[in-house]
Amino acid sequence: MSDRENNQADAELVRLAQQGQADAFGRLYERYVDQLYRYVRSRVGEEKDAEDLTETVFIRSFEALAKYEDRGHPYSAFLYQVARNVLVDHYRAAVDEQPLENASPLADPAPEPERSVEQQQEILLVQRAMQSLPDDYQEVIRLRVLLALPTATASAWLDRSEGAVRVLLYRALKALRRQVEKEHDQGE
Amino acid sequence: MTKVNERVERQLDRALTALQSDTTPDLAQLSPEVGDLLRLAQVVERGLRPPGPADHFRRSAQRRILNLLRHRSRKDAARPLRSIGHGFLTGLMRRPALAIASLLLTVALIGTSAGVVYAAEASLPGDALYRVKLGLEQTRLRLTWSNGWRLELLEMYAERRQTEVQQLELAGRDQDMGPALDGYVLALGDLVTELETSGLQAGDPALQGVDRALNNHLDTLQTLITQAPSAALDKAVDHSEHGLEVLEAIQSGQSPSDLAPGRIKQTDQAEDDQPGGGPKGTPGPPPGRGPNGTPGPPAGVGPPDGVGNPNN
Repeated sequence: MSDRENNQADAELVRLAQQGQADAFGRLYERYVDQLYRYVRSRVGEEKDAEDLTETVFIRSFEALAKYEDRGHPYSAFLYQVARNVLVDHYRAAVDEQPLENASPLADPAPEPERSVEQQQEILLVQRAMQSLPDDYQEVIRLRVLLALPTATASAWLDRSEGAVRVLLYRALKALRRQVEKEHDQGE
Repeated sequence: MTKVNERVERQLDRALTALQSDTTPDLAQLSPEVGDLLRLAQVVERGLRPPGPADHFRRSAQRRILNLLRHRSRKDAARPLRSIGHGFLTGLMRRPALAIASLLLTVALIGTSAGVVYAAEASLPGDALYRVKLGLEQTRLRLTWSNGWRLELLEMYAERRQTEVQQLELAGRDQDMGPALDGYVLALGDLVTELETSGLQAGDPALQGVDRALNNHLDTLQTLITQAPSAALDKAVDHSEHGLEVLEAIQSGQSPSDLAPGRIKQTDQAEDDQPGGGPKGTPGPPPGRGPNGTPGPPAGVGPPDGVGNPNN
C-alpha cells in the first residue's frame, strides 16, 4: 500500500473512531502498536515501562480523538507527538524519583550470547556515543535507522521537509562517527 | 548547503532505504564517506534496534484499550440528553409564566433524574452514585424477559466490572479495588449461572458472544493476576473457565446442568468416584484444575441464582 493509500485508510479509520466505533480505533492500534512500542522502547530501558507507556499513548490518543483534525499529516505523526508528550511526563516523574544522571534515555542493549565480546563492546561504544549527540540527531537516527521509517514518514513525524530529514540524518551519522572515534580513542 | 553535500545526503538516504528494503546497495557507486556512514548505520541498527512488543502484551493491551473505549463511547452516547434538556428549557422560556413554572418543575425533575442517571453510568466503585448504577442495571435485568437478552446484559455488566477494575487501576485508587474485584467476580458468576440456566441451545448467536467475552475475561484476568495476585482474581478465573466448560457442554449437546461450578463432566466412572456430596452426575475436575488434582468445590458452591451483584 502506498503512503497516500495508507493515509487515506487511516483517515477513514479515524473518522469511524470519532463516531464512536471502538473497533476502528482497534485497527489503528494494530497498524501502529509495533512502531510506537519500538519508539518508546528505544527511549526507555525497561520492557514493562515501554508497555505501560505505549498503552498510555493509545489511551491518550483516543481521548484526544474528538479534537483531532485531519490536516494532511499521517495519523501516525499524531501518535508520535502523543508518545513524545507521554515520554516527557515519564521523564519528569522519573526525575522526581531519581537523580537525572541515572535516567537512561536509551534502552540498554540486552547482551546476546551469540555476539562476540568485541561486538558487545562496539555496541556499548556506539550507544554511549549516541547518548552524547544532540537530541535532534538522536531522534533522526532513532526514526530512520532503529525504526527503519521511510524518509517521508520520518519527515511527517518530525514535521520537517524530506530534504531537511536527509540533511539531518547525514549530519547525525557524521557526528556519531566522530563521537565513536573519540570514545574509541578514550578507551585505548 | 553545497550541491556536493546534497548529493551525499541523497546517496546516503537512498542506500539506507535500499538496505532497509533488503536490497543490497551497490557500494561501488557510493562515495567512501557514504559507505562508511552506511556501515555505521548498520552497526547501530543491529546493536540498538529495540525488539517489537510481546504478542501477549499486544493482545491484552488491545483488549484493555478497546474495553475502555467502548465504556467511554457509551458514556458519550448519553451526553445528548443534556443538550435536549437544555433546548427544551430554552423553548419554555417563551411561554406564559404559569406554564413556564410548571414546565420548569417537570423539566427540572426530568433533568435531575437524567443527570443522576448519566453521572451514575460513569461512576466507579467507591463513588457515591455507584449503587445507583448497580440498581439501574438490576432494574433493566428484571425488565428483560428474553433469556438471550438477559445473557447479553449480564455479559455487558461483567465487561463493565472489568473496565471499572482497569479504570481504578489506572487512576491508582487502590482502596476501591477490593469491592471492584468482588463485583467483577460476582458479575462473572451471574453470567455463568445465567448461561447454565438459560436453556439456550447449541448454535445460538448469543453463545458466540459469551465465548468471546469469557476468553477476553480470562486473558485480562491473567494479566491482572500477574500484576497483583489475589483470591478474588483466582475465583474470577474459576468462573470464566467454568463458563467455557458450560459453553462447551452446550455446544456439544450436553446439558449444562451436568456441570457444577468448578467441575466438568468427564466419564461415568469419574462421576461415581466424585466425593463432596454433589448432585448425581456431578463430575470431577478437569485435568490440570485444582492443586495436585484435588477435587473442585462441592456442588452448589458458586454464585447461587439471584446473587451476583454487589447491590444484592
